[in-house]
Amino acid sequence: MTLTTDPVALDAWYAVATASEVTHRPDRTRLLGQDIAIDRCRDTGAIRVRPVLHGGEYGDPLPVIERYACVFTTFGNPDTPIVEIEEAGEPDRRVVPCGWFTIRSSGPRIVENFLDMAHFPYVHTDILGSEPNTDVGPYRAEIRADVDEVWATGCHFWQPRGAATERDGSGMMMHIDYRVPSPFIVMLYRVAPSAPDRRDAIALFIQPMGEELCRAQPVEFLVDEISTHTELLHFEQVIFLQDRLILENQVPRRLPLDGQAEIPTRADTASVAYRRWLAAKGLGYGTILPHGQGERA
Amino acid sequence: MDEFMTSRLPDDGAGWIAIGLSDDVPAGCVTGVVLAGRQLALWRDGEGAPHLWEDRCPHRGMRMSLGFVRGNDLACLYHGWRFDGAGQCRQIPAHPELKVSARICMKTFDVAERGGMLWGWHGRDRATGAPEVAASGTAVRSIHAAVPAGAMRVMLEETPGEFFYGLGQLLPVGGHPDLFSLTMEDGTGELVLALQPISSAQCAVHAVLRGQADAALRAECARRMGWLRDSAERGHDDRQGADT
Ligand code: FES
Ligand SMILES: [Fe+2]
Repeated sequence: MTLTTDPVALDAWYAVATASEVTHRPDRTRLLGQDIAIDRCRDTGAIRVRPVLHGGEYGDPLPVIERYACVFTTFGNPDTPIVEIEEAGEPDRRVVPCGWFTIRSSGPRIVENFLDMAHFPYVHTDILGSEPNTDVGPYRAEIRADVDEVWATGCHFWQPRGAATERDGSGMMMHIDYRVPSPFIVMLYRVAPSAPDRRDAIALFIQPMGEELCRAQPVEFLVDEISTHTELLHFEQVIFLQDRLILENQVPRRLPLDGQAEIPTRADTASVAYRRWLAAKGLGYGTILPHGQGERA
Repeated sequence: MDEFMTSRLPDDGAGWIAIGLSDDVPAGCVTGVVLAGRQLALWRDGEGAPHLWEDRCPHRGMRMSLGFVRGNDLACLYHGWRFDGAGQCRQIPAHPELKVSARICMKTFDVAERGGMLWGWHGRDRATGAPEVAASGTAVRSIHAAVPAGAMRVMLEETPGEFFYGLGQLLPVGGHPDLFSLTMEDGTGELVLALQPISSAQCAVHAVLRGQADAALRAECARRMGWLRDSAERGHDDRQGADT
C-alpha cells in the first residue's frame, strides 16, 4: 500500500491515536495507505507521527496536534484548522474517548451511517429506535458555504433509550443536530439527558487506513455526571457493533457520489447533501466519483 | 474471470445452475448464493415460494441476504424497506404514508425448484423450460470445496470410483457438464449430483437421492460427499504444491 495521491484526502486533519495511550514504543498504524508510527519522544515527551518507509526506517515527522483527547496529523496542507468544538472548552464537560473500532468499509459510508436516523429501529432495535416509531420527520440539511460544512438541523426521532443515562427504556423524542465539519469527521449535538438546557456533543473521528478499511473513535463531550466511563464505553460498543454489521455488508463499500447510483428518500436529505458536498470537493478517496469526474489513481 | 463465467455453460451460454438444496432455505428464510460469479439473495416467502434477487438494496446498497422475511415480503435490514415477491418496494418505514414509486424495485432472477434442488437461471433472456432433472429428490448434502468447478468436474469424470465404490457407477448426464448420476447397484435408487461453480477457487456440489432414500443410505451418501470434498481439496493442494 502506498500513500494516496487524492489531494482532498491529503489536505485534511485525521485523528490517528488516543493521546493518553501514546508511549515511547512506536505504535504502527496506517493512514491513507501509508504506514505510520506514533510514539512519544524520550527527550522532549512530545508526540511524534512519522511515516514508515520501505525498509522500516522513519521519514520526516508529520505535523502533530493534540486535541479532543486525540492525536491529529496530516500529510498535506489543510486550509482549515481542526474542527472547532466549542463544548470541549467548557470546564464542566467530560471528554470521553470511547475507543477505536476497526471497520471494513469506507470513511464516507461510515459518516453517512452516523448521519442516518432511519436505521435506528432496525439496526439499534430497542435502543435508538423501535417499531412502530419509524417515522423520520422533516428536517433541514444544508451545505454551509461560509464554513464549508454540512449541517442537518431540526432532526428528531423517537428513541427508547437514546443515551447511556436512559436506563428505564420508557423512551423520548430525541432532538438532534448533525454536523460534518470535514469529509472524515462527523458530529451530533443532542439535548443532554441529565441537563435539558444544554447539549451533549459526540464526534466520530475516522482514520481511513485504506479506501475500504478504517478505524474510528467516538469522542463524547458530555455534561452527564451519572454514567460511569465503563457504561459509556459499553453503550458505544453495542451501538458500534450493530453499525459494523451493516457497514461491512454494503455494496459497494465506497460511497457512490453519482446521484443515480442509489435511491434516496426524504429521510436521506442529510446524506444527499453530504454526497453533493463531497462531489463538489472532488473527493475520490473512499468514494466513487460520478462518471467523468476526477481521475482515479 | 470471463473464462470462468462462460466456458462451462452449454451451447448458447444460458442455462439453469443448481444453487442449493431445497431444504437449505426454509419458508421465511433468506441466504446468499453465487450464480455464475454474481452474488444473489435467495429467499422463500411465507408461503414457501422461492425468489432470487440481486443481493443489493437499491436504497443504500445493503446486502438483501441479511434481510428478513415478513409475510410474503423481504425487508432490508438497514432501513426496513419492504419488497414484495415481484421485487417491487411496497413500504418505506421512514415515511409510512408515502406511496412508493414503481421505480424502486429489485433486479430479479429466474429461480426454479426441481428434484430437491433450487436452480437459478443464467442467461441474458428470461428462463426457458425447467431444469432437466427428474421432479423428485430427497436432500443428501451439499459440499463446498476450495477448488474451481473445473477441477471438481475432472475428478467426478475421471475418478468417481474413489468416492462412490460399492454404490454404483457415477456417470455424467448427457449434455450437462454439471450434472452427474449414479444408479445404485441394487437398482433401488439414484444419486444425483449437481455442480455449482462459485468462483475461480470455489465450487459446491449438491446431492439428492431419488427412489429409495432411507436414512442409512442418505448417511452413507453424505459420508461419500465428505470424502469427495476432502479429496478434491487435498488433490488440489498437492497439484498447487507441485507447481511451485
Ligand atoms: S439500504 Fe436497504 S432499506 Fe436502506
Ligand atoms: Fe447506527
